[in-house]
This record gives sequence, structure tokens and C-alpha cells, in this order.
Amino acid sequence: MEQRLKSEDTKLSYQKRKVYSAWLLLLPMLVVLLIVAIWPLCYTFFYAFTDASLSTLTNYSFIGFDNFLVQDNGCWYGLVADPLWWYSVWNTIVFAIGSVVIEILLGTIIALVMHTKFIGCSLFRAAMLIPWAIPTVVSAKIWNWMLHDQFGVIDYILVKLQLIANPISWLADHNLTMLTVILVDSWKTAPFVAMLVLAALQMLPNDCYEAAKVDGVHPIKVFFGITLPLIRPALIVAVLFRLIEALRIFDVVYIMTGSAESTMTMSVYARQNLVNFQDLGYGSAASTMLFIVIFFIIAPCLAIMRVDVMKEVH
Amino acid sequence: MADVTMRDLHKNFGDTEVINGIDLSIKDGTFCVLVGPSGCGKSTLLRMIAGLEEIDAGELSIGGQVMNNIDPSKRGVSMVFQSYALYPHMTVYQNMSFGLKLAKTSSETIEHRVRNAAEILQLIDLLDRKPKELSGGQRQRVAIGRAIVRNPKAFLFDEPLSNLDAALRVQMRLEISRLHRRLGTTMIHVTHDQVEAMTLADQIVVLNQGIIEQTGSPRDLYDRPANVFVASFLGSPAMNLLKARVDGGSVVLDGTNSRIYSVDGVDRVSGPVTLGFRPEHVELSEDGIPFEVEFVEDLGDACVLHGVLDGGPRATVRMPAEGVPIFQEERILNVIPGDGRCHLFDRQSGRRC
Repeated sequence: MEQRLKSEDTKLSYQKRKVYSAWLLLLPMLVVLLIVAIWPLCYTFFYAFTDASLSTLTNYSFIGFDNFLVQDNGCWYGLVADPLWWYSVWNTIVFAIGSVVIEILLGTIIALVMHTKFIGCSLFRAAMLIPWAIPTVVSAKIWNWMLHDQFGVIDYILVKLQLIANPISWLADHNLTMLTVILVDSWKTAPFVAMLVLAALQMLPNDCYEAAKVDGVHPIKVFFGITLPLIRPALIVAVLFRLIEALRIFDVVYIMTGSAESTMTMSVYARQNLVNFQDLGYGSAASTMLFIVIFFIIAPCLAIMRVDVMKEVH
Repeated sequence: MADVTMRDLHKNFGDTEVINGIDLSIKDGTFCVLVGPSGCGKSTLLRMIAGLEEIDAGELSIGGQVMNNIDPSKRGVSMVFQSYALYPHMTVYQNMSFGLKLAKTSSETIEHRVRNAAEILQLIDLLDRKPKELSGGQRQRVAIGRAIVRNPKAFLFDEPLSNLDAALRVQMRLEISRLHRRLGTTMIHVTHDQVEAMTLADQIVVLNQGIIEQTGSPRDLYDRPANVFVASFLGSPAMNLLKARVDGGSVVLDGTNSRIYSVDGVDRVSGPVTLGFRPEHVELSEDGIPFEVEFVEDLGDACVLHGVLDGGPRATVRMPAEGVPIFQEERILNVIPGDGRCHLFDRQSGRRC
């Protein structure tokens, strides 16, 4: 009896030791995370309730929810009352849905092509990754030049091919800028989706396809009936990753169209207030709202997808 | 229901010849087992019949119709894969009906056929389960069920039992036999397991390096192997193949003075030969050849003894368990192959004399 107790005792301490060492190994990462993510985040939340300005960082006072909503002389002011803010929210959602849909479709098609064997397929695989490997600033600048309405190569080709009569101002026409930005972002990130999907495709059991062949299943049915259900977990992960990225999009939009209203996303809105207008308090309030918006879009997605993926795994 | 006939089939993978001129005819309703060591081309041959591998040369016909360039699904064959090849996201019912549904079979027919197959294979209670909720044997039965519902002219089994554990393998072997008797359809079964081949087959085809070494009934192949390869491949423990020479109506083992009389065919040859006899056909005999036992494997019902014959070649003998007390290591027994149980093979070509 005594011996059994003793052995249980050492077992417990072994369990504890395992927990301690796990925390010890996690500690460096947690510290880094605290410094570069949690701390700035808390600071942003904090500034959102002040009237701090970028020029007078130390001199501020608490103004409660005034940055978000305040009534002055019978008029409503603040972030929630600003139509431009809501327009930027709308833009962000349009951008996110548009780019994620195109990227998933394009990425899946690229992956399916890469999954087949053809001459030069390894070259194609390497080439495919280039858009993803180029820094966004560089590729956005390249696209800026290619899409330029006077010197751009794209308008030149389209005019030469007589597909259009006059050059199109891709980055100036308010009706086109959002589409342009979505397409450029899709070009850039479809390879990422393609890689995720390709990895999933290469895990698929080959014999299922041979069985389908003997059964005489039409290739299109094979794709929708076998391939698609089997790569769904990978697609879900890809959608989630891309959605989070797209909702906080900044670089492509800012470099290609600056702070133009037609493409202004939440991040660009926050930056404009923070940097251009030097309004640290108001910009922080916008950033806080951005956080909340993303949280409320992603959290339910995560919950649904988690259940879904779990079901696939078990 | 159909005959399957192959005429001079060839297949290369790059520069490697995998199938090197196969002539084979399998009669309607036969259970044919393709057996051979790894890399002998047996799976490739089966996949050529299924249409999963193209035929480089020669002619394949099923039911009298040339099938070389016919789509796999139109050959009227069903294939059961080694890894079952079940669709992981579909239930047992969906797995079995998937092919039919796409062939636009009416839903009553589908229902009827799936139920029927499920009944034969005792899958009725499992129809709503997914593959991952099934045991290996159950998965294999689903794979077979999926083959049955298509009412094929011939079944193709690609090592269907090799992923199962030993006990289950024996059970599934019986079930496949029972299925064959019940359906009476031509079945072509690939395996590397010679016990599976012996127990299942009406017709065994022994393949080696892309050619047929011998084909015939299991009994034929066991009793009269056409060459050294077939002799050593079928039977467990493997046949003893010893260098010897024929000298004046008897066989003398190389490196010894021991003579074996009463060997069939000894009058037709002379000079160096390979003498074959199965371990289970060796008897104890007063005037036999001295056999020094080195290792004893007690199997319960029998003993397998490994040792040296008359200070010369090594040999294996299998003895009934009654003699256990005398089967001890370092003991010398006197043994002799049973009358008419010896095989003579040409030393050079390996062919039966």
C-alpha cells in the first residue's frame, strides 16, 4: 500500500515536471509575444480613450468614449458617426470576400495543374511561387507601373490588341480601383493557397482514383465527389488564413492607391488618422474597432470550421 | 461471365521490361491466382487486364472481345485493391453505390444490388458507417461489395488479403472461396502468398520476371513443378534442391557417396542434375542417408529439422510430431525421400527432366 502511494507520488511529480518544462520551453515565445503583440495592443486600447496626438505624446487626457461617439451642439461625432469609417469597413469586406474567393478558385486550379505530371512541371512549380516570394512593396510597385494609364504595359497591350480603344486608368478610375487591387492581391497570394491545396492533393490516396476509373466515374464527378470533399480541410485552413490577412489588408492597397476613398480599408483609415492627421487617440480608436470587427468575423468562422475540421479528423 | 485470354502481352516501364510475353487463357468461372515474388509483374498484369496500365504489345480479350484500347469501366471487370481504396468521406452504402449512381442505374436497382451484396458479405448493419469506423476485414468486405454490385464479368483482386492479420486472412480466404462458389464468376487474384494461391485457385499461374514459369492446378504444380523456380516457390518449407548426378540408374548427391534409388525419370538422363524433394516427403529409414540435425523447429503437429546430409549439402525435413523425442540437435537420423517423391531438374536450364 505504502509502496503504491509512493509510486503515485513520483508519478504526480513526473506529471508536474512535464508541465513545468513545457512552460519553460514556451516562456521565450510568450515573452516575445507579450512585448511585440500584447503590449502594443493594450497600448492601442488605452490610447483609444484619450485625446493624445502624435506630436504631443505625453500630454493627453482621458475623454472616455468621445473618440467613438460624442454629441456636440446636437451633432454626432466620432468613429461610429463617420460615414468614411463605415465606407472603409465596407471596402474591407468587399476586398476580403472578393480576394479570398478568387484566390481559393485560382489557387485550387493552379494546384490541380501542378498535381499532374507534365514536361517542365518542376520549373512551373518554382515559377509559380515567385509572386508570393516578392516583397509586397516591390510587386505592388511593379503592378503600379504595369497598370499606369500612360506608360503601362497592360494598357499598351490591350490597345495594340484592339481590345480597348483608349487606355484605362486602372488606379484612378473609382469604379475600377477596388477590382484592380483585388486582382493584384489575388495574383500575389494565390500561390500560397495553391501550396496548401497541392500538399493536400499529394496526400490523397491514389487507389481511390483508380477505383473510380474502373467504376467509370466521370473526371468532373471525380473532382466534386472525391477530390473536393477530401481536400476540404485544407481549403478551410486556406480560407481562414486568407480571410484574416485580407481583413487587415494594408500594404497592397496603400502602395497602389494611397489613401483614396474608393479603396480605403480599415487599416488605411486608421493609418490616415494616426499619421496624416496626427490624431493618435482617434487612430487608436479606429484600430481598436478594426480589431473588434475582425474578431467578430473570424471567431464564428473559427468555431464553425473547428467543428468541421474536428469532424473530419475523428 | 467471360473467358479472359491473353496473347503475347508485353509491358515496359521505360527501359525495364515488366511483362515479357504472357500467353494465358482463363476459362469462364475459373478462380485463377497469379502468384510470384515481388517485382515479378503479377500486379502489373492484373492492372493491364483492368485497363489501369496500357498494353504495349499483344492482345487481351475478355468474353471474346478485344479490350486493349477499351476504357477500364467498359471492360466489365471489377477490381478490389490491396489498400481497399474506399472513399473515406462516404458511408459503406455510398461507397458501394457510388459507381452505380453515376452509371445512371435506377435507384431501386441500386438499393436492391447493394442490399444483396451487403447480405452476402454480412455488411447490413454497417451500411451507415464510414470506412474509418470499420475494422480491416470489414473494409475489405466493403471493397469486395463495391465490386459485386457492378455485376462484373470478372473480378480482379490485387493482393486483397495482405493488409490483414494472419487469423483474419484465413477467414477472408474462406469467404472469398465461398463467394466464388456462390457467384461462379471468373476471378483473377494476385498474391505473393503461396498458401493463398494453393488454397484459393482452380488455376495457378506462377510468374517470374515477367514470364509465366508454369500454369495449372495447384495439385499439378505441387506434384510436378515444371522447373526449379516453381519447385522452390510453392510449398513451405521450400523444396530441398540439391546438386547431384545421375549415375547408373541412381542419383548420387554431390559431395557424398549417398545414393538414392527409385527416382522417376532417372533412366532418361545422365550426368549432373538438380535433385528436388519436399521436406514433408522425407521418411525415416534404417538404410537411409545419415542426416545430422542442426536446428529443430517444433510446430506442434510436426517438426521441421534443418541439418546436413551425409556431411555434404544442407537439407530440411519435416517429420510428424510422434517422433519428437528423437529429434534433437546434433543427433544423426537416417532419412530417405519417399518413393516417387523425387524430382529431377536439368542443372543448366532448371527444367524438369
